[in-house]
Amino acid sequence: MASYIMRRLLIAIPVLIGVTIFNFIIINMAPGNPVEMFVNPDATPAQIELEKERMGLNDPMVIQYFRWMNSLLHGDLGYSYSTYEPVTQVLLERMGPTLLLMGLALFFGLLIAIPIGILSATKQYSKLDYATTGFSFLGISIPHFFLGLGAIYIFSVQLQLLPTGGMMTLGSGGGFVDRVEHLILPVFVLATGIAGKKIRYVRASMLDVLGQDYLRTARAKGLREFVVTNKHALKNALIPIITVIGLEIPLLIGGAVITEQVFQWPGMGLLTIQSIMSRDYPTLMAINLLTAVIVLVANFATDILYSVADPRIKNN
Amino acid sequence: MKHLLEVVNLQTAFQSEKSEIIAVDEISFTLNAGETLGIVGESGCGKSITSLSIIGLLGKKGRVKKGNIYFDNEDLAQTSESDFRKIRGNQISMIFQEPMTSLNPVFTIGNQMIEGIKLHMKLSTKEARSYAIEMLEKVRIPRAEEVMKEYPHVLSGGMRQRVVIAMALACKPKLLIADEPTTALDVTIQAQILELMRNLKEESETAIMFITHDLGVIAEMADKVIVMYAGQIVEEADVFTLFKNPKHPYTQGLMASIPHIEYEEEERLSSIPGTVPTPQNMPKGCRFHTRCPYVTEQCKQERPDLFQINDTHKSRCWLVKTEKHNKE
Ligand SMILES: Nc1ncnc2c1ncn2[C@@H]1O[C@H](COP(=O)(O)OP(=O)(O)OP(=O)(O)O)[C@@H](O)[C@H]1O
Ligand SMILES: [Mg+2]
Repeated sequence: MASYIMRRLLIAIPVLIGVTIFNFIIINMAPGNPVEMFVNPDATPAQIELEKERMGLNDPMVIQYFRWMNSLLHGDLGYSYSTYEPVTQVLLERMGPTLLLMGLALFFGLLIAIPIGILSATKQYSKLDYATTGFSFLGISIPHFFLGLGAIYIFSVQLQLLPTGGMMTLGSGGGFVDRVEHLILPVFVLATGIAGKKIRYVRASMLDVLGQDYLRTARAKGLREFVVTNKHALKNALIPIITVIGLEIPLLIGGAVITEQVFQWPGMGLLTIQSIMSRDYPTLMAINLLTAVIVLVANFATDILYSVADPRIKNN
Repeated sequence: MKHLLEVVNLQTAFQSEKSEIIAVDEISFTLNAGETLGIVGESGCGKSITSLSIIGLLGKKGRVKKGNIYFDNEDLAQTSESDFRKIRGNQISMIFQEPMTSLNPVFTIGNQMIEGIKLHMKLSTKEARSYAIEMLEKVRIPRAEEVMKEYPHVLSGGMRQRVVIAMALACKPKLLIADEPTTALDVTIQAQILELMRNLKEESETAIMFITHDLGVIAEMADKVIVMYAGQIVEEADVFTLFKNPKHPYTQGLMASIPHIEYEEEERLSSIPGTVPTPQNMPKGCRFHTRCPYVTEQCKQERPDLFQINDTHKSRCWLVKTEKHNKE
């Protein structure tokens, strides 16, 4: 096990380096530059040129990359071009809200998907099964921004039940209830997407398991159908689902970009959009690196979890 | 004496998309405590469906359409599912054909053993554990205590089948249904398992329904035998009579096709020319007439009943009826 973890870590290093190089090139290829975004619009081209020179933006890309990498290795992610705050501090501020949103969305998405997926499989071809399939297609195919705007229109604008966005009511200090109210709509939007996809996986995986001989053995013991389904079948059905959940994490980060934008949720997704708009290279590089790390960690955690859940894997 | 199990005119049907398929029909037999009943017949003749009907595990699509299954004076065909669960795994147990897939891969042997014991014997987890170890030792599993903590995949097929047998016998069932318990195992392991079952039977008064398509195994294990063909019983006799004096042409065919050297099952049974009719296109008249060497016009038109030859011998064949008639 220890050697396996070591090997995975060693593989992760070149992957991460590759990711940073790739991102660096893409970011620098984008038209426009940070100076134009934040200098006084009256500035002359000469002044802009001077500023670019001062920030090192005129140096060859390779030099810029190694300068960035050098500071990274010294634990320094640089300063944001738009707010002049240290990038590390900005990221730390923004990570919390995003993790909260993602975590809750994943939790509620699965809380809906697993029982409904099971029911849908045990009652295959029933009305409930068809209704579930319909719902899950809807959940998959409605874009997040559309569902988000629709939810805001209904619950915030028309019914005035929930806030339109943000993490708390400005100036209120943010009590628990206030924060929960702000969470409901974005979590609902993300969780709907997750549930839509996961219901299909849980159903398919459960159907695979329901025909297995060992369930007949379990029934022959006189166990109740509830135990047969939720103990004997479910644990087997969840094993392939672990992988699918692991693969969901990167998609969730992508989904959060849109959802955070729609709800003005002050997380990494919103930061990403803001950084792109202002050509904030240091922040963008840091976000990309962090995203890559999260994806790698999620994949790794998935593999570990998989081997914990499936006793047949541990031995090899 | 009242029989432990009395099946009367059992008919089991499956709902398919278009129509209803009658998988087994007119099944009647009795079984007493301590007796072993062998059931033989080609693949698809309804051996498993008969036993699944008795233990009430036909699934959503299947149901007992007609007939009665009296077990301990209770008609299992009429019993509610919740009452049936108290009998299943407790008074009636079943061992299935496939040892490799009949244990749940993600739970330990101990977990799967204890489950049924706790359910029916109302023991605490600790008591159930030590009882489970005792049962594993009884079916001669070495290192029983450690095996409790193992997952099924580390055990061989023979060992898994022993675990399944231990599980089935744990609650001291009055009736044990063994559906081809050794077919998937190699010959030496097969012999060990059969030996084990014989010993266990001698210790308790358990009645056994032993299903196989291997007549050799029947000769070794059974007291009386039912031969099934195309969803029906075609001959019933005690084991000596059946081997010495088989009356139904199908049984005779089965006997004749036992080779002296071991062949593959399929090869040996296919030496009766033709194939088994499917439930969807049962021939008119006797179900066996398409393959029968003694077929007459009557066989093609009229369905024979299961004629009583003597107290212990029955055969579903017009020839038997005629022969008996001529004698009288
Ligand atoms: N779920 C089902 N739906 C419809 N028909 C079924 C179903 N299960 C079994 N049958 C039919 O019932 C008949 C008897 O099947 P059964 O499994 O009892 O045969 P068997 O004698 O046990 O054969 P084998 O030796 O191969 O185990 C077969 O013709 C089969 O087509
Ligand atoms: Mg069978």
